[in-house]
Amino acid sequence: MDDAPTSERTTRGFALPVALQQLSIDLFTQLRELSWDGTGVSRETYGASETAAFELVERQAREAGLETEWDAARNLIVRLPGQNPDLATVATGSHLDSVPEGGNFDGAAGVVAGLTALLAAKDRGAPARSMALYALRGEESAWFGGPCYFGSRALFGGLKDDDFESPHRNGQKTLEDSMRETGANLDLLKSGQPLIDPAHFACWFELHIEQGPVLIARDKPVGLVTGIRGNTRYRRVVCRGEAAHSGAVPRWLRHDAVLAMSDLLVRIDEHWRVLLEWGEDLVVTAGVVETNPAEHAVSRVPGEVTFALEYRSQDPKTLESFAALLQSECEQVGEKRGVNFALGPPSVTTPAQMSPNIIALIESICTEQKIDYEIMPSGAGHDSSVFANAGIPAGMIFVRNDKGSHNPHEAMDFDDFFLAAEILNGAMQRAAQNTEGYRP
Amino acid sequence: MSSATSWAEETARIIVENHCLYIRAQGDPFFFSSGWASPVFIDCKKLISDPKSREALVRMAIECISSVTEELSAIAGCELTGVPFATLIADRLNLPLSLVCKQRKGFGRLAQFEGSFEPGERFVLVDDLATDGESESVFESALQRAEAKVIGTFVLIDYNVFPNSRSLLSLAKLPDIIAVAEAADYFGERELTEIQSFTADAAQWSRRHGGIGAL
Repeated sequence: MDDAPTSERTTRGFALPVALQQLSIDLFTQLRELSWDGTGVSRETYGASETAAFELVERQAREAGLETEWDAARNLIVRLPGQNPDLATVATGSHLDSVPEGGNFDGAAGVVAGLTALLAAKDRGAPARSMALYALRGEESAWFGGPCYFGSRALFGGLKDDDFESPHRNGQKTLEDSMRETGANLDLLKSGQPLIDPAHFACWFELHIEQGPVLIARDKPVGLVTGIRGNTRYRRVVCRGEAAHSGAVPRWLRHDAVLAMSDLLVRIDEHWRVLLEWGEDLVVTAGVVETNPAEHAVSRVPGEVTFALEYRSQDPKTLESFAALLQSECEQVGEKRGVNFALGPPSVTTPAQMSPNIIALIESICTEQKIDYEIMPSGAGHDSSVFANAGIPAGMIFVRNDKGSHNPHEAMDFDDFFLAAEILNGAMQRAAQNTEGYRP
Repeated sequence: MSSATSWAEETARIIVENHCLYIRAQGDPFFFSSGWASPVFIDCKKLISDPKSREALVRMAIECISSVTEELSAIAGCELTGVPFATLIADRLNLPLSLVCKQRKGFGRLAQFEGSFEPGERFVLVDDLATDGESESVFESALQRAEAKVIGTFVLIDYNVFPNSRSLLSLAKLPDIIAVAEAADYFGERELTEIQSFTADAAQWSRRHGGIGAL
């Protein structure tokens, strides 16, 4: 390890020293090797591939002389004790799982950057507040069909019965089974008891690659996030009509489930178009469309179809109004076509606002370090929304990333990552020396 | 004052007085169907309701359409918002009227139309507002496929700021409306700056605000 970190840009020295830059690159390389599936990286939520990534980070942290522990949800916590243990902790972190055949930087970038921030702080000498890195379990919704943020929600006692029963995409096990295999304490998690008091955290930071096109379009290396879209997900909407012979039954006697679903989706698409014209923030997606293979046939009017539906917005009012709109369209299409839509229980993630105090802190670091940034909302969901909604002052730093995310072609430039890590490092150091705190 | 200038001013005044103009300098922009992001949205729906505004707009529309030198034989209205204006214009001019639908329904040459016309009919197509002119192009193509000739497309308002915008017949363009709104203190300095940067390079503004940068 180098001596005290020095920066070329400023006198304050938040830039990552060369040794920590190299450590980041090495960690990314090892993570990629560990979870390569032939097409992309696959680190399965509460699966062996996710655990392997956690263990790699744990080894690295211990070798560098940091303390580590696992909580009841099998999140990994890396600690750097501060001089005053009575003060709330400055924390950072992100997730280590990926979507199937996903990219290496989605999530892992935040964990790697957090580790470098703790190591830089350690070299500098313990700050007033303790610092912690949370490597979080199960942020992605891809493995268990809809719900997500399992690790962060477990921290604050937020997991529900539905979550534990979520079926794995292979259809052979539930989240509960996977959690048990990793050694999570299910009794405790199911009790809904928080694993940690939100007051334990002075503030929360998360570095993450941007998963949209904004930073590329605006030619900025980093983004400061103002808020995170919430979402409502119906994992399995069932549209029931009536099966019939496709030749013998005339149009006016049919209750075709697939046509009814299509009608509903086209109506929803038109609402969406108009709402965007009016400047509402909204995205709507339907997928996982299935007729039952045991009974569907070319010559059969489909009597049942199931599909998934999700919509996201930064505005809780939009989510609420859209829920009502969806309900009323289901009723209207149902009545017109003689079918029934059973939406089932939605999984809901509330939109989250990042803390103005934390945004101001991160902004001041960017200004000092002369790093160009963009202030922007996050369209994608992140663990930080869980921390923010638990009342913890939270902030996010986005790193420019080309070619989107949730695919193996993510293209994050290491120079951008180092700048973002420098900002994270600076903001955490500043926060760890500030004994006033950031709560309003 | 030329007639075009007075049409633009009067139309802009009607837009402003009916509060059809919405400006957003921060937060989510307005997104149009093609994917353009814009800080300006004009809600033309309100114009149908007010008899005084409607009368003035139809009078000016007839003046504008009558200035076309080629001879027209019929009026076509675009589903849905072009329909009331096209109907009033056709009625005043005592010309045949057809309505162009967004999609075909069934078979035949006239599957995309309400009304009826023979091949070779010479139409002026009427809509209320054009952003990038894409939807008007779709309606024009429908008429052409039905063997009609489109001698002009008329809209009350044409944004006319997006790249490769065709010039349509119109009463007012976006900058005309902004000028009148500005004089009426309709919006503040911040809004004006945002609109100016939009009208100067709409494609770039759109791309920087999460919309498309080209069609």
